[in-house]
Amino acid sequence: MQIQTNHFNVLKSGSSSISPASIDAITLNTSERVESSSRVEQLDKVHASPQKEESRERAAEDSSNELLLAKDVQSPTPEPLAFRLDAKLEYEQQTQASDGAVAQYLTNQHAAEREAIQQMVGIDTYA
Amino acid sequence: MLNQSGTLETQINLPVTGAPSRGRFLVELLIALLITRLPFISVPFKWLESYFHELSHGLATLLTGGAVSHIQLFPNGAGLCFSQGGWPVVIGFSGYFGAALWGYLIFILATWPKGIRVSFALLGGAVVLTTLLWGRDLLTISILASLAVLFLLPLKLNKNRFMGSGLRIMALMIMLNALASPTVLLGLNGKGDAAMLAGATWIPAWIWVFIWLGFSALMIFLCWQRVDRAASNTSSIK
Repeated sequence: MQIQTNHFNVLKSGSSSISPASIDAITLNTSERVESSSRVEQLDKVHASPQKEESRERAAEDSSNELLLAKDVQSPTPEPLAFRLDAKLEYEQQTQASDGAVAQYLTNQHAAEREAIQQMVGIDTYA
Repeated sequence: MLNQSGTLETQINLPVTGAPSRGRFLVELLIALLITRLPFISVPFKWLESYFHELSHGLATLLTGGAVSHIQLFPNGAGLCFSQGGWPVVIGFSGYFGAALWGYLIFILATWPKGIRVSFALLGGAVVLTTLLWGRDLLTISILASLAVLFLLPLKLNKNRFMGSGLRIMALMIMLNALASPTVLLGLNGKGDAAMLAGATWIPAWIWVFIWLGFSALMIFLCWQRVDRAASNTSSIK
């Protein structure tokens, strides 16, 4: 920053008598400025590159998600549809588990009535 | 005159009480204990205890307003009573309790010399009636038939003395088996009358087992007490 200030001061001064030393100084300053700016850019790159990369990745992900959503909603490809159909078919194929669950439910559903009937007509066994 | 009347009274009292002497009772108890420990000879006497056990379940069912479907007896001495309704706690408790009580009642009957034949006939008739009412399967009917023979066959004997001893030994065997049977329940988890009663009353099964053991021991002690009292009366008369 200080180098830039010196450089502008030199240009704005508009003095006719510019000594080579001053030119050298200007060139030197310019080169220094260039170098410094390049350093700053490099530093900026060094510091900013992970953030930028992250933001780029996020953007890429967002865009890919959007694309997928758009594909699912607007134009479903055969793969998700087949996957869904397979899932439904797998659920329906689990008949033993579902039958067991239904039987368990029915066992508990009329337990009180069943017990009353057993008390009325059931056979007790005494050893 | 006094001696004659005393002797006559003694002669009259002994047959009226019909209780054996202390020594004779101990011998009969020893014989009963030996028979229950013998491998094959003990089997029909195990059925005897099993029969009175299931009969008690059945009678308790009827007394508490239930109905008995049938009973099952097995060669190893196990048995089942299939019933409907009634009070489960009373029915469950009555098995071992009833077997010991039946043993004591039979022992009392066996000390009634004049009624010894009637006692045998009543017990045989009860077994026959049970067979007709509650016997369903061939095995149970066979076991009940052999028990009926066990009670009715001594009626062929002419000597009441042997009949009395025989019936007392049978009664003692029923009580000894009733004393030994509940101990089997201690090794059974979740099975038997004790487990059923524990489920119904929340009183642990082992407490029920010890109640039955105590009651059976009490019945044997009451038999001894009766014999001892009769012996004391006889000696005081003499």
